[in-house]
Amino acid sequence: MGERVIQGEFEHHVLLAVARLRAEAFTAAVVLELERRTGRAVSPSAVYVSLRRLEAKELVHSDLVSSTAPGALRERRFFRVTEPGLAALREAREDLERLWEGMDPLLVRGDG
Amino acid sequence: MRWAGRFYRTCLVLLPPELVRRHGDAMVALFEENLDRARRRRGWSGAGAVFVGALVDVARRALVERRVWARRNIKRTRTGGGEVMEGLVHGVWGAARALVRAPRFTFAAVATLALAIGATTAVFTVLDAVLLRPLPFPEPERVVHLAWDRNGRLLSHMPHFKVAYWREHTPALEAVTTHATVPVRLDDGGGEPESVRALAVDRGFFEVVGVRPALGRAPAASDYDPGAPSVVVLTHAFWVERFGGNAGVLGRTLPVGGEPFEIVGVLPDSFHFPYVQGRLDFVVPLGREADPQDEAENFPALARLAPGATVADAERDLARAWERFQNEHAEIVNGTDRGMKVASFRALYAADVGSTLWILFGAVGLVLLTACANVASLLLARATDRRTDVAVRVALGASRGRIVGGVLAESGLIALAAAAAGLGLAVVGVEALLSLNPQPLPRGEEVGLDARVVLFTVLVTGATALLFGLPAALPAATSDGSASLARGSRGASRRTRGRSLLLGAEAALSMVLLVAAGLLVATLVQLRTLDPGFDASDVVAFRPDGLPPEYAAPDALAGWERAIVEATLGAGAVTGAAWTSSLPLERGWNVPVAPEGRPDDVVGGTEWRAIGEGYLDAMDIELIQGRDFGPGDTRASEPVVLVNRAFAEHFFPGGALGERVEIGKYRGRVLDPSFDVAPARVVGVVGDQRDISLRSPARLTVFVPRTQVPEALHATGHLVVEASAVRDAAAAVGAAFERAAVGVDAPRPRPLGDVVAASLARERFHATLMFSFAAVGLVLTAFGIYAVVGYAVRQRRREIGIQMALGADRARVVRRFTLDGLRPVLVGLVVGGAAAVYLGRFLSHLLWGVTPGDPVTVGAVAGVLLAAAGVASWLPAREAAHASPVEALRAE
Repeated sequence: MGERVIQGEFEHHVLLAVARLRAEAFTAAVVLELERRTGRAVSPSAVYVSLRRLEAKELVHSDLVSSTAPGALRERRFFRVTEPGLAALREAREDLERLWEGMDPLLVRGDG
Repeated sequence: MRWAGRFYRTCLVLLPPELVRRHGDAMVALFEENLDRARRRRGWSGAGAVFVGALVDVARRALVERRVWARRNIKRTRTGGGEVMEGLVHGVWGAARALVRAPRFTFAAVATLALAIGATTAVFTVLDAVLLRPLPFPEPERVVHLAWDRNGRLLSHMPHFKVAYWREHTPALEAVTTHATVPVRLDDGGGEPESVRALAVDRGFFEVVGVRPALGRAPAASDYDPGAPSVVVLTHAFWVERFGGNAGVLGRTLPVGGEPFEIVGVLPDSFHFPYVQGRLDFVVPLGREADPQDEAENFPALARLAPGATVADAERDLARAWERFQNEHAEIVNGTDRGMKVASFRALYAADVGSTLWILFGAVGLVLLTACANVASLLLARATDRRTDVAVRVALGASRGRIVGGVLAESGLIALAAAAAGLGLAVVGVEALLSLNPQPLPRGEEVGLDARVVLFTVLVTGATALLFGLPAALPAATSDGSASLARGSRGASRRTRGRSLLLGAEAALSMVLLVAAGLLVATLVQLRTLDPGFDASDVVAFRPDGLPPEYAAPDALAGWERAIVEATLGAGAVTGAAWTSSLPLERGWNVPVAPEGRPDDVVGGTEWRAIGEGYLDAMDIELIQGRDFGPGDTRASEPVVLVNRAFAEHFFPGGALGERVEIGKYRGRVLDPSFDVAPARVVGVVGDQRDISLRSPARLTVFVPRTQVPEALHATGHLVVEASAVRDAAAAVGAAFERAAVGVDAPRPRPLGDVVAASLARERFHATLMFSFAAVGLVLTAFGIYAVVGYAVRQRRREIGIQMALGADRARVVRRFTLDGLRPVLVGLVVGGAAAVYLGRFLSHLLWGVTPGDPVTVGAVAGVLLAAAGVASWLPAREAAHASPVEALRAE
């Protein structure tokens, strides 16, 4: 089990997407949610790798659920954010907010 | 699209297994969903883009994940011996980046090796199919060939009754059979008859080849009896084509040659008979009686060993059977026959082509070695360029093993890329080999790239990577860090020696290839310039395609032939015309001929040709003694012959004119009633002509007049016409055929020069291939010299600049560098020349008119190699000497 820290922006985005999707966070939905929210194509394999890493760090937890819905896989893996995962998200947001403090004028005027 | 999903799933094996176990299904489902959506929205192009994008995504992720995994795991398990491994894993990533950053070097190395690996794989593909692969039968090691030993020579074909005899008297063989390919016509009385190909087989065939019909049955024992109701077993392809694969075909009839044959079975699709080239439509029982009087040697004997029996057991049974045969059939035993032997497919059917293939394989192997030396030289130069980088890394604590692993990773990647490209080139190479080859190859239809060939390529690639990678890796292994940094460019002597050694090796290999090519080209030249005993220039041959039945009688045919000759000679541009039964250098008839009263002196394989009046003039054949045939030599007149010089000297050393010979009689036995005529008188002696091939001296030959051809050998012949241009001959013959109005189209012209050229097709094939390999070797060697000398010049540019600035003679500088490049080549020339003379004996059966160690050829080839090496050395040296001294001094 690795340290319970989000590593990198992409891992951050994947964790956020899982949190947004709540009960509907199966693997394919996470990929689609990221593409919808960022407006960019996302590498599916990169998402799967990140989910595996997040699970290894116990920031998410997954369950294999049987499905009888027509056209769906017989079994789907659903993810949910764990308490440590939520804590890591809060910490990451706080870090970002502290770094962004006072940066608004820069974004408006473009001063260096 | 499910195939796309399956393919995507296969590619997922590149990713870490644990990831695929957990998310593989979901990844495939998402991929298929994206593909489907793209196809609906943007058509197949959109779907294609998604397909390619997904595969690239997996590949990229796999590279990243494998590197991360390697970094994590190798750090944990590092041991002394694992350093090179660690270097290899890390090195693969770094090597890939380094090669992408040096596109010219990478292209040169990959292209050089791809050409050599492709050529090697192409030759191996043919070699494997023809010589190495087991026969396509169940338990192929139990299938044997029975060969007739005639005076030490193994013959594959024998009379039918002998095959039947061995079947009865060899218990170690559970089945003995024979076969013959027969062109037949399917003729049901209405419509155009259809030409097809049947395989006529004897008892035991299906047991020997181990095949059971997929439908119905094989012929029963009684079906092989002469006169039994005719049955046929269809091949799978014919069954599908003609009967649509209908299982109700059994019991129906096939009109073979107008006779109804009952269909009793259909062979499986997998059935392949390697002894027959081209398509087979069905199998029929041979239905032939074993007749000791029938001595036509037209039947090969194929057998299967009984369970538990060995080849030695079979040969013992055959020896006992031979003893018995000699007692029971003494009257037909030839003094030169020595019985039966068990032989391999290779020995009986592929002996000639087999030795050629092995020679080609050796030659292409030399090209591969030359390519390896070339790439090793390039890598060594590259390693020299990076010696500072290596020294710094060693000085900072990097392990030598890791650095060596990195160098080997680079050579491995180059070899892999070359192998992939080489396999593609091999496909083209195989097609080229098969189309250039003048004769059908035994088992030629089995030639193709398969798992065995791919495995061979993998092994060759691995060996190649080591061969050219190690010379470059060794300097890295022996770098001593800071001391090397201190020495700088002054420490280059070992690397220079290494490159010189490689250059010398390339020159030696090139020399061997060039000498071989030179000898084969010399053979071709000798054969093309020798006097064949006739003049093929200005002679055109025509062969009518089947005359109407009214010309079947010899007299009618002779009259028609005379009319055609007269009409053809009437055209002003034609200076000669005559008929002949067969053209020179194409097989004619062989009949036994003996002097009258000396039946024991018979020569069974005397060449027999039937020629018309004017043939000797048209072909410019020398009439040494006596006269040519004339109008007085008719069927009713005295039988006469012309003989060639070899025949006259063999049978009548005191003079042949007026002597008499018996034709078609073997020790008192007449081969055919039509040969039962009075002995023929020799009326003339002509010069020898090459008959079977330009290589072989003329055989004993008799010429009979067209008007005196016996019934047994009566057939349409060839019209030879002497004219200054082919179109004049064609026009004259066309007009003559039209005037004759027999309903036969004028035949197409065939210049006799083409017939002569066709007889040299094999020699041309050998010379062309060997010349191509030698040319590639020479280009690689010259390129190698150019690169090495150019590199040496660049390394010493500062030194050159100083010398030029101090007033050194330009010509001297050029001379020095040119000689530096030539020195290792000279050594290679001597070593290669000696090796070429030694190895030349393996070529001796392909040579004619030139010995393996021919000094003229060796000398000429050495001159060519030296000239090429000289130019390749001089060019970069000249460039250096003419560069500005200021620029040279600035460069470092």
